[in-house]
Amino acid sequence: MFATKSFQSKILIRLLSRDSLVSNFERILNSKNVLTDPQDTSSFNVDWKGQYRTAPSKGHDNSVVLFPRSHSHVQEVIKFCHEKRIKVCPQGGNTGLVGGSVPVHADEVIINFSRINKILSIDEDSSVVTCEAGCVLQELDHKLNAAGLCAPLDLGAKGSCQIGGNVSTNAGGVRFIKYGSLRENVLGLKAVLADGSELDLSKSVRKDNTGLGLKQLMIGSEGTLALITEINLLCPPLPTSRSVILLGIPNFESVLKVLRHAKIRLSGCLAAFELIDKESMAIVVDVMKYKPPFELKDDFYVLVEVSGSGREERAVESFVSLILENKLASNGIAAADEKQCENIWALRENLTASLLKKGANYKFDVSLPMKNYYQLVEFIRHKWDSSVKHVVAFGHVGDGNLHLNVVDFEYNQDRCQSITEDVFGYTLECNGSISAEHGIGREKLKFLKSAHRPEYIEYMRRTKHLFDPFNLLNPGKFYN
Amino acid sequence: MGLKVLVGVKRAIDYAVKIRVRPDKLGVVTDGIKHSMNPFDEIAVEEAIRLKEKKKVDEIIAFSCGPPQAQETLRTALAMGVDRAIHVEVDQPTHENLSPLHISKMITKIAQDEKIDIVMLGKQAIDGDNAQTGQMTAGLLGWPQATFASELKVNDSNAEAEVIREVDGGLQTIKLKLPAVVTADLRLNEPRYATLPNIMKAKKKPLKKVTPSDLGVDTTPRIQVVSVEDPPVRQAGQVVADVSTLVEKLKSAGVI
Repeated sequence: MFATKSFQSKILIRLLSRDSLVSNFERILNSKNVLTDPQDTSSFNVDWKGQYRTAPSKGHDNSVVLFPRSHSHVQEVIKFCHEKRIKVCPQGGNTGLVGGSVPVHADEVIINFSRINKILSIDEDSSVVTCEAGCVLQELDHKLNAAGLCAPLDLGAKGSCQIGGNVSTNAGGVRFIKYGSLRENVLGLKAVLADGSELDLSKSVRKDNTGLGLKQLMIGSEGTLALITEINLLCPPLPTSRSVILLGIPNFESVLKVLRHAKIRLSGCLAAFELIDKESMAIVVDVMKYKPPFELKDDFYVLVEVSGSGREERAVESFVSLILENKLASNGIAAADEKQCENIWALRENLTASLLKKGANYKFDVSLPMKNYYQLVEFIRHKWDSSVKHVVAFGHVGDGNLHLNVVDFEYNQDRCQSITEDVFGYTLECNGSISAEHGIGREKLKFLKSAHRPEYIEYMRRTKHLFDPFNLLNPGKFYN
Repeated sequence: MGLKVLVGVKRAIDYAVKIRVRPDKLGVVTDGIKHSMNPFDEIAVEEAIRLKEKKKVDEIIAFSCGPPQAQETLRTALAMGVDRAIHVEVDQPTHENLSPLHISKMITKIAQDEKIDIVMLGKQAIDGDNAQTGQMTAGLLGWPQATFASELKVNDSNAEAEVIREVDGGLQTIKLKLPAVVTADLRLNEPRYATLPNIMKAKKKPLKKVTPSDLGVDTTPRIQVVSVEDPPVRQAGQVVADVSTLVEKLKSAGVI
């Protein structure tokens, strides 16, 4: 019955010409909020990696880019698109890693949230900020700092990514271990549904057990169920001091023991627990020409950050003496000031960029039970080391999240496919996740069916149909 | 016979922190703000330790004057490799009103009592930016001084040092007899990280607490801070269409 209806709709609606489309958008938004010239639109039509580019289609070479300035602008645009069955691609900072933020086809319209970027209020008593979806994460964080708060997440893309995009993709990052997921920190949101109507789930309270969680459905739905325009975000107090320690650890078993001690001794102030393996450390030190903080003779390096109100010294002391007494680390240093903190973090933060300089990268972001975490790396290394340049591992080991990267001499489709099947196969066997943080987007679409039973995918599809019967929101992403 | 070095270290607001003027406009906000060792002092400590590793120096003593929290900074110096520390304790209000001359007098007394061969300091503290303590200390001790050092070499007999100084025109090399005062500039070295075993060992190293009167130093303020203000807000620039418009605007502003 559904299929017949959409077939009828297709015959009844004439495809609008690009000019007609543009003049309608200019009427709704004002011409200065509409970009159509290929010179202006090109950067919005390709992803950060340069891998996904909007494909010309139906008389369009590239997608028109719209910059609504408010929630009601978004509603008007979507109402119009719904009427004319125009597909839309919501876009934030365009920093996603799975091709979810650029259109598949150029007849889709990009709705970019950059100009919906006001901070509406900061409630210092509830520690809640109400802000629009286009706020850049780093700028939001700085404004929160002035009020004695900070953003509950921190990621490499913070200079460009927007909070709306973070929420739509349930972004993770290095502070996950201390502040938890956006699923707990987003107290409320406002969004626009596929027909242009408003979904107002705004709330500034922490506890709300009233019915099925629509808000949770929207978080991480990658712009396919609704377009998020406003967020009520719970923010932790701004730490006034931090310590950073780098440990050299001989084996992965000891890494896990150190993690266990950190969770106990540094409870409440553990702010980051990141792994850098020997191979990735060698690459970042080489490419960035860094001076290693100590002699690099271990197989694993762990960066531990502690932050709080400045009273963490005793906790850090007890953690460090435990590590030394039990000989869990063969080497370790502590930063004496902010500059040294930044230098140690640079080793971890510049890994991704350094790897790109070494060749083609096949990147995997998986979650595994702790005992399998490094076994996956060893399996892939054993099988593929002789055919590729490097197999390296780093990541948020504190949350069981592994960033496995294979560096190839040049991009090889077949090899990429085989390695992907090996990594995902192993991950799914351990009941892990094939995409811990980065999401599905376009890149992991074809693997969705290996991650879930067909009947579960059917539930997802039906939910999508419930919210977006004409498949207008971010088509070609997230579901087949 | 190895040399004995006294290194002065100051606990200052961390260089990366955004400074805010206090509401009473008599200083900056320090409560709850991250502090660490003055970066130039870190470089001085590092240089002293390198001299010890080269077997030129037998013992390094760290000195700091300040409230109880100054001990954290001394522990950092001990963790880097200094042998023992002296903390001249004063309360926070007194600390805020101390000038380089007070500190120089304290260093002078300790240098004399401990029979120090080289007094090493950072060239200036990043809070006061005075760059006077080293120079005043040399004056009080009657010792030669080598300030803004970017390289330090002690000769074989341990009686002389050669220092390359960073000056406006470039680099100046001077030779001076020991004992002497040396202040460290940015390019002298890159300070090491404190290793975890050394941080734990530092807790057992001697840290002696004394008062200014023990050293015969009067801490009565010699200077009164009248006001502290933010620098003026930078005015937005103007974009002009072409060179002739620029010339016109410069002329009307009376600049040319």
